[in-house]
Amino acid sequence: MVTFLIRRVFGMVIVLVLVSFITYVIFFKIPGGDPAQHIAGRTATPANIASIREKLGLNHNVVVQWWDMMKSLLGGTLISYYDGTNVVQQIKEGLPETFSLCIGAAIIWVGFGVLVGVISAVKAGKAGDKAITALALVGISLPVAWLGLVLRYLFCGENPNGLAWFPDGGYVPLTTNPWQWFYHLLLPWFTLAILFIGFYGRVLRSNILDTINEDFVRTAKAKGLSSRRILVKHTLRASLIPIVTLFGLDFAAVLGGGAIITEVVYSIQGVGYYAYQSINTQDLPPLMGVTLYGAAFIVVFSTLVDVAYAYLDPRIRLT
Amino acid sequence: MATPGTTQEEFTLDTAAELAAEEGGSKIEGKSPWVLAGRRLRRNYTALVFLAIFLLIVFLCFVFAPIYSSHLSHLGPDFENASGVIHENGKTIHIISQGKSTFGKDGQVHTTAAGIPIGPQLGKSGVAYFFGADQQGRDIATRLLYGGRNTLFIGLVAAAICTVIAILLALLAAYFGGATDWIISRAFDLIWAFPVILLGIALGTALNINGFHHGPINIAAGSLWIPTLVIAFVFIPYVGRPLRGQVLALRNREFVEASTAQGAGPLRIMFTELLPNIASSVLVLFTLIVANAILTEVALSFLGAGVQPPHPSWGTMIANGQNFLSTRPWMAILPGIMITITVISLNVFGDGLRDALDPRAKVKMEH
Amino acid sequence: MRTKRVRSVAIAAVVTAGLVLVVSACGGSGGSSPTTTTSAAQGATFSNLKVVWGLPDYLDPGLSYKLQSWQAFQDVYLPLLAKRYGTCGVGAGCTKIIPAIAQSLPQSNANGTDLKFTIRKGLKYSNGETIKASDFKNTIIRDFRLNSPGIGFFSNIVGIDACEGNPTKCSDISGITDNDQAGTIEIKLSKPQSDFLYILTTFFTALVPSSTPQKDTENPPPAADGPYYFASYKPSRSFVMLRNPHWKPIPGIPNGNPDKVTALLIADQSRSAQLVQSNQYDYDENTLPTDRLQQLQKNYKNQIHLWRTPSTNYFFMNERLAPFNNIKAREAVNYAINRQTLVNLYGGLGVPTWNFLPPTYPQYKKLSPTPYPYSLSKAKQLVQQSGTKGMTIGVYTESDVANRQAAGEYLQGQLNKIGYHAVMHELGSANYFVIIGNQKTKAQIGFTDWFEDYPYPTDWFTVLEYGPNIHDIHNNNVSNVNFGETNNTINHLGHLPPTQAFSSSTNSDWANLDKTLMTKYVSEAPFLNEVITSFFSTRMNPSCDVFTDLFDDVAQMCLK
Repeated sequence: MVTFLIRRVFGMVIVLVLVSFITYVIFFKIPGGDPAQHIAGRTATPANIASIREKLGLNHNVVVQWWDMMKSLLGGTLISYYDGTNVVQQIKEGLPETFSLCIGAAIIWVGFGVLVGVISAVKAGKAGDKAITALALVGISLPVAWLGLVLRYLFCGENPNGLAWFPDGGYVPLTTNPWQWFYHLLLPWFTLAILFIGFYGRVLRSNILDTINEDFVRTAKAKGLSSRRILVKHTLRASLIPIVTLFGLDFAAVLGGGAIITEVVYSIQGVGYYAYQSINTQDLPPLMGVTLYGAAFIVVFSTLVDVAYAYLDPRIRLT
Repeated sequence: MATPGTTQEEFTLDTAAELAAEEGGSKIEGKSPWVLAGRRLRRNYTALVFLAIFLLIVFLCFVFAPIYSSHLSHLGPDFENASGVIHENGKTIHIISQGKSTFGKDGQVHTTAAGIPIGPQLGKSGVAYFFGADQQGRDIATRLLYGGRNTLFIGLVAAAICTVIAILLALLAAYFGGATDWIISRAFDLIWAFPVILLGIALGTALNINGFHHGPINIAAGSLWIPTLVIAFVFIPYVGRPLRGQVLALRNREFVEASTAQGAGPLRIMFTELLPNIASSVLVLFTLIVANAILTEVALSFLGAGVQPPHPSWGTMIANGQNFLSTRPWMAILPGIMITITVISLNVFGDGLRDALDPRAKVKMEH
Repeated sequence: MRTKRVRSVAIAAVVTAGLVLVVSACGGSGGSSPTTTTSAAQGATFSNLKVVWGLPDYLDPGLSYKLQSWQAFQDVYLPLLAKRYGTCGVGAGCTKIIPAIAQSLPQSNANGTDLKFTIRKGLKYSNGETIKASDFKNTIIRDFRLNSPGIGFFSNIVGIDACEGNPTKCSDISGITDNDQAGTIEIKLSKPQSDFLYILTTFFTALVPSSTPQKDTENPPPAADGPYYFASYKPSRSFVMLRNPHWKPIPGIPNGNPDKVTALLIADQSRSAQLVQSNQYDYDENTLPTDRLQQLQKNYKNQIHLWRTPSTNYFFMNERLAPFNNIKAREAVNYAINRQTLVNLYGGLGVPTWNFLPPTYPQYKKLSPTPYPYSLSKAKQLVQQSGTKGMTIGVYTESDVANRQAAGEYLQGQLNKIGYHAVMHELGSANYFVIIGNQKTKAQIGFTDWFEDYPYPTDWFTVLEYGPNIHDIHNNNVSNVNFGETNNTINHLGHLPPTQAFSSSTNSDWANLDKTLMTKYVSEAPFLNEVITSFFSTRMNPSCDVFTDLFDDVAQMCLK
């Protein structure tokens, strides 16, 4: 176990280093991206540009510059080229919003996903199953951006003749007003969760049905347990194992900025929204920050998931 | 599979197992797995219906689009008609609503709002502007068709490129093992650790400004190939990993040993022994990736890093339609409906394909 | 300025006009007596004004170059002189200057190269520090240390060369001397400069305490000398203005009605309109989106004001590259664009124009008859005659501002109709001007705009149409306009002694320059002046809305 963890941590660090270096290189050479010209703004005499380049260390080679940027990022002193704000600070300010959105959505999608999976497994082959499967399929086929727009149109007052049941996006901090916090997040939660509910439901359903056919369940059946429901209960734990791994990775991806579209459509200024703004301004320091933040979540959670998997399924050995 | 002593209906299993259960004995003796699969697929009416829907959409976008444009609407997808008018019932209607301004001495302006394109005409003025005009006065119906062409092109081609590369990498990794496997697996990890949307946006934005001009490859900025290649690249691990897992399982089987003993080289083994055995997974994964590629194109275009104007695509049409959500909601809603139908069709057909190829297949989109 | 930030170097270096003593030269409205505040009646104070605001770039007066920042600065950071705090309408009213931190307009020598100010006594910043005369010089030095966008304004000050050569090491400017005891400041210019007093109204010269760090200071922003100060600033999220506890009333400057201004920063025009419409917020600084405008105008007519701004949106045409090095091609573009259609594409929020200067300038004279009535056939003919038919043209525009994207795509469509093969290059606005301002991009044609920095034509012609002001990077003269006749005129009109700079014959000369550039040389294709909106909630009294030339003044807003 310990050697496993050590090896994984080592691997994680390498991956993170490479992720940040590649991000840096991607943005390094794009036109219009010369930060010195950008910061110099209007003054732009050659002397100004030269002095800014000197100050920012832009005359060193790629690796040195990248390393400088990493140092200031990890030290929390990295500032944006575009508006001089502290990158780590800005990410921190976005965390409550992203976490509120993602954790809430995660609870919903796991809860409903399991519910959907179990119900459709129990009623496999019958009308109820087909209906639920159809809904699930629709859920995973909707483009998130479009779904957000349609919901805003239908329920947030974008339609002048329509309903305004929900506020049109935005975020209210939990500490300011818990009810408003909840109310503002309902639609975004739903939008983000719907994709996963369908997916998890189907995966769980097919896992359950597969497991039902496995030997240990046949043994249970032979012992006289005949009801479908009881069998589902027995198979649930084994069937949930792949769900755990899926969830770990999906949750990490979403927390790490995968909710960018939901955040943009509903104007929730979390980390994903910050990433979106930085992309628009081609502001390299924040992009480095959010990319690393996102990648860190993914690699950490993927390790956690492997550990959890081993714990849950005694047949697995960590190597 | 019913066991005695239980009621049949308690254990009605899902379609796949049902299909498999109906086969037995003489029906399957001597027939190749592909023929059997084809048979199962033919009996799965739902999957076939949705396949037909998908093919219909492809037909509409690739074959019917120019016909619609030349003979029905008489408007090209890029034809801007911001100053134009249409005639209905003897009335002249401006395609983009006109305004009027008067000025006060204090610098205040009194203006009637303008700039709203016409809504769905639904045939009232010939076929033109059937679903209305977009913010530049372009015909939405025509753009839906041509935009579908671009979106489907990106989806299909990206999935194809991704699959081919993923197959190669999976075969190499699993066959040679050792260092090769380690490098390729870490490469998969690396691509996969990048938050997908961010990677897509980063590459898309970076490449869209000036294109990609290195060595023999020359792609103009704003070309359709940029989002295509970006999406293909981003999904490689999603196909590569499951395939690698499968090949690993097959690697040590007897038929491979036998082949090696006969003196077959690595290439021969990879392509004549291993590849056919993962073909069914490849097919299933391919359909799934096409669906996801289409959804990713929408996401990228919505965030401004996908298809560049003036190329229409369903994603850019949704992005443009955002600005007119309260007056012309159909601008954004229609392309979304097309996308949803297309992706549902692909998903249902993909399911049916999976059921037919291996009734108890454990191949899913694994992370 | 452009609405997004760009400015180029040393515009003032070539502006050698005589100094303008605006009080005597402008329309003569009341001479030099300070006007009383044009805000609502006394006793119109209230506790909290909640506003939705577009995103500023910085809230540091040394660095900000966006209207969203400046609109707040007018009540927070005061320079030596300020523009009048009243609705200026059109013409001379917009050029009036009042003394702010300075006691009065400066004493000056005959050709305006030696200015002497005395600052008012007993003023303090919001942090309690006394306002000293030496703060002015230190503010300018700080601007250099920050590599401020505004340092180009100062290139005519004696002794500025050391700082211009190496801005971040700037430590002294010999042309500015001061005496804290007496409260005097003396500024020496190397050449007469007609717009220098205006430059002293820009926020780059707004006094900040000498103790302010010489780097981007936003957490919190620097201490204020105006009626309000920034109590907090969270970039992209919010800022709060509170009354300056040490504020002593200055004639002509509003003391402010709200005790507190709470601003929520939102870029999405639709959302910000929604927040005011639902009365959750009192004032929307963002412009109303096109698709809402009609409905909002119907239901909230009295709560919406539309203001014409001193700005021009135009298509630049790069005269160094084919096809627009050919005058017939440039004429063709002017004939091919229907300016009313462009206004419609902006949702009606624009005034069609064929002039380069906006109508708010006293030097503006409407081109009559209209030089380029919309005619596709004439345009096609001209393209034919120019011999450039069939060329591929890359059209540049901003991708994330709906109006500008529409304008660019419209231009592309029209160019295709008159015989070219036009393709789009749509770029994010954050880097748009940096890219088109770089000669290496080889941009042939595209969208650009200019908003007034100060109300004198040098801000337009010298910056945007003057040959010697062409640069390789950060080029504001994106069309690379360089004609001997107009260069000389700009130079000449910029070198006038103070008494002549605002005379009616000079005004005519500027107007003629506008006409020459637009009709004889066809240097640009202007199409509209932008109109912006002010949207108030039901509890606000819209008649308190004062539009000080570029924007509304929150200090003067009042309740019903």
